[in-house]
Amino acid sequence: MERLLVWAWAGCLIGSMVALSLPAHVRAQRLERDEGWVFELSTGAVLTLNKGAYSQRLREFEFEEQLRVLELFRVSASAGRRLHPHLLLGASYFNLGERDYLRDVEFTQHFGWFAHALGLFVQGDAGFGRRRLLNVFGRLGLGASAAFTRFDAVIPSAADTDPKPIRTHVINQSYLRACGWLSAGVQLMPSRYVGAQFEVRYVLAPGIDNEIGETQELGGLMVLLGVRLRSWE
Amino acid sequence: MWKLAWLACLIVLAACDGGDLISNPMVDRWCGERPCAWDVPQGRVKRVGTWHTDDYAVELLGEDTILSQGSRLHGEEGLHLSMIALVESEAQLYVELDFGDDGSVEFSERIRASFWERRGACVAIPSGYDGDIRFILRKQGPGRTVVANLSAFTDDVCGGEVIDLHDRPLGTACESNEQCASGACKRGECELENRTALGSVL
Repeated sequence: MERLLVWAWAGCLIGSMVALSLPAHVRAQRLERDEGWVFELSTGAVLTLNKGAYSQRLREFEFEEQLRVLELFRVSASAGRRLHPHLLLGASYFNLGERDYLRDVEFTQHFGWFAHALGLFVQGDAGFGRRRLLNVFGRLGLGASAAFTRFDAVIPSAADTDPKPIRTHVINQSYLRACGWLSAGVQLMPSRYVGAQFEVRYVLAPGIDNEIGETQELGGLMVLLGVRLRSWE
Repeated sequence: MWKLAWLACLIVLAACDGGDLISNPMVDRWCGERPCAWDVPQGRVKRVGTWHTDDYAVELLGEDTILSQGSRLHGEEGLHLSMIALVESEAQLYVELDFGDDGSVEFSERIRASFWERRGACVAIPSGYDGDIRFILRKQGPGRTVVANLSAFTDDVCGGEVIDLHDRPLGTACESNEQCASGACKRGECELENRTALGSVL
């Protein structure tokens, strides 16, 4: 799946470079009366909670998941430039959620993570109606995820004789990994500059590893609803 | 007054707690070269990471190593021993029980090869046994052996054959004379033989 994403993304990137290689006056003609820069801000929720080997391992080690609504919340911000009537190149940021686990055996210990993603995407689309009143699009993105874990590790040599022993200390770790996404949606642009968009996005982000070699998938299927702004050439 | 009431509640709760019979079950507290509350009467052990470099386990080094801990049973009928283990196929790891903590092992079971999976044993113990017990992990031969998250809980549903425990001390529950060190099981308890004789004279 990752390899497929890389190849598809590379193909789209080559396509956009070909579009860019057209003579300036040809591009100008094609882009005439079409949108130029686009900006999007979306919020939504992830529909799938990943329960792979990594989280199973945490349960084996007595950690209990503390489910929070915020874990499902997603926000995405994108900016793009139209290169062709059917092609747009952009960059996107979105969060990959957070999770918290609690273990209460001899001491109370938390383990948790939060993660973000940043990447480039290519959008193939088809506009309908005046000034792209309705724009149907598909996207392919490739970038990097940055995940940050926090673990209340037990201090192994804390003295029992200490009247108020500090039993744990925080161990922070970070992970930078490749991620990719596929999405599809519609953009409704009743105004010249402002509109709305709905997007269904599937993110592949194997973002955190443990020492046993298991990986936590941070992505999943998410739905996003947002505002879309655009400029005109 | 309220403080006293709270203290009383806490004492009652502690008394009713049927929790882990093992101290330092996560083996994450270390006293020098061994996990606190555990003994290493033979061989050497080492602190290692598990799923996280700072969440600890104990590795039994060498080819003949013992890690053990003494505890006490209070009339439970079954014992569920559990651990997360990394046991390479060529390694031999045994979980053993020494009732009475007298050096003789009454239960021994090999833990099969495992890659950080939960392994354990459910042991039916002599009914009414009230006394010391020692939990033993014994590694023999080559191969890597790491254990973490050990626990021993009382469990009434452990089936199988009840361990036939001999040489029980005075006052311990029994079913037959052979089970008692004194050779006399009276009214369900090991007693002195001469006490029985004295009782019959009186």
